[in-house]
Amino acid sequence: MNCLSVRERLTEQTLGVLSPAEATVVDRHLEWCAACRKEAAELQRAAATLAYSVAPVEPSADLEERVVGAVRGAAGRRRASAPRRSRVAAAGVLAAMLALSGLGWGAVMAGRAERAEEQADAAQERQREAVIRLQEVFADLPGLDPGAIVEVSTLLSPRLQEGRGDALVLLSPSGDDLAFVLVDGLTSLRPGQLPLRVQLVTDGSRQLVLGEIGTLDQAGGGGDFGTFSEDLKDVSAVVVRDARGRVLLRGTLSVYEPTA
Amino acid sequence: MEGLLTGDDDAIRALYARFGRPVFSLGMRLLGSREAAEELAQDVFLTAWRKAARFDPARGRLSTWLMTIAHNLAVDRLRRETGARRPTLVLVDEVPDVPGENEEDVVEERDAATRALASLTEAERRLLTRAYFRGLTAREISEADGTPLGTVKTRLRTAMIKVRRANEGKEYM
Repeated sequence: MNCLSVRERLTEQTLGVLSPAEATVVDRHLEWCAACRKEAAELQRAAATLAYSVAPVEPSADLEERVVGAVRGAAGRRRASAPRRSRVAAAGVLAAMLALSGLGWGAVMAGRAERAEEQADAAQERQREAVIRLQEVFADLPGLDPGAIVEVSTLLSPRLQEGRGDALVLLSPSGDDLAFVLVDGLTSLRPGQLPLRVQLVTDGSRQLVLGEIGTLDQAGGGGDFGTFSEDLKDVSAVVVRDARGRVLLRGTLSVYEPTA
Repeated sequence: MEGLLTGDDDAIRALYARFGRPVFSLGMRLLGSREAAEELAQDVFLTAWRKAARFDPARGRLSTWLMTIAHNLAVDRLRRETGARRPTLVLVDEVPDVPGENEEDVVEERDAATRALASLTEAERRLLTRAYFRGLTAREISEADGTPLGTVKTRLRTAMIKVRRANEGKEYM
């Protein structure tokens, strides 16, 4: 989707009435397009004004306690279920995941999608910026181990059929390891082939489950990530299978070189 | 926001103090019962906690981010409960000022909303109400009114541009 098509949909997006499929495509565009993102932010601010335009009603006095209790309870549950090795601050891990998916990593993916639309120069420039941004994310994140090693892989179809993907594994010496997988272009799958199962394969052929991708957007894109208390340093490959177990995409991990 | 990420009481209370009433008011006016509005408020602050790491002040204001979450959750609920009776929507310029409501940011937000509403024609106001507060898509409005889809989209866009321009250059949120 180009900028013109996105701008045509931004009003409905900010009013919350765009179809989920179209909203996903618009969101993916906004991940890398600063100009459309700025326009969307201004419209979003205008829409928030509308939210304030309802006549005020006083909530009951005990609602605050219930809200505080609900958030405190949910935060407590997350802390209680945190893996043993979770020495990376929760905020840092969350920020890492979201920054990667929303800023750096997403922009890398968007750059590739754009290239397919014959806008090679601009896309490569954005992709270069995204890689630099990715570097900055790792350098700046509070609580993220500076000694963390990043491994990446391009996932391709072993049968040279449709689709591609990218995987990123973050090996942290002091905390949980993280793994991200994004797929794209899987547009011909039948409903029975979902959910996709994402597996990490170790040198000893052991398979760890990263998770499932239950839905794909119109461009055949989707993704998942996971945190692992066990060390992922022996993981050497990433495999994406359909619901029947057929391998759709696979790739071998190698250490990420941020200067590339 | 770091405090919110870890479930810190003071951070949650500070967020509630600023946004508790607008979120609850949105719930009451859209969903029509105190029970539904209170459930919405809890869901909104839980979602804010879950997504706190995603909030980037460089990309937008906290009020915009939080009220967007509130609106999305409220409209999701409206769409799920299609058969339920909905209250008549009451907007800020249809009621007198609430006594005691003199916190600076509340007044500014209310003024901004009043300016936005005043910039719209009656038809634009009705159209935005149906889309934003009732969750009707442009296609649904087009089919209900027998108006071409493109016309509905253009009118929505024009109305939103007016809302935006009504507060241009004013640091209110």
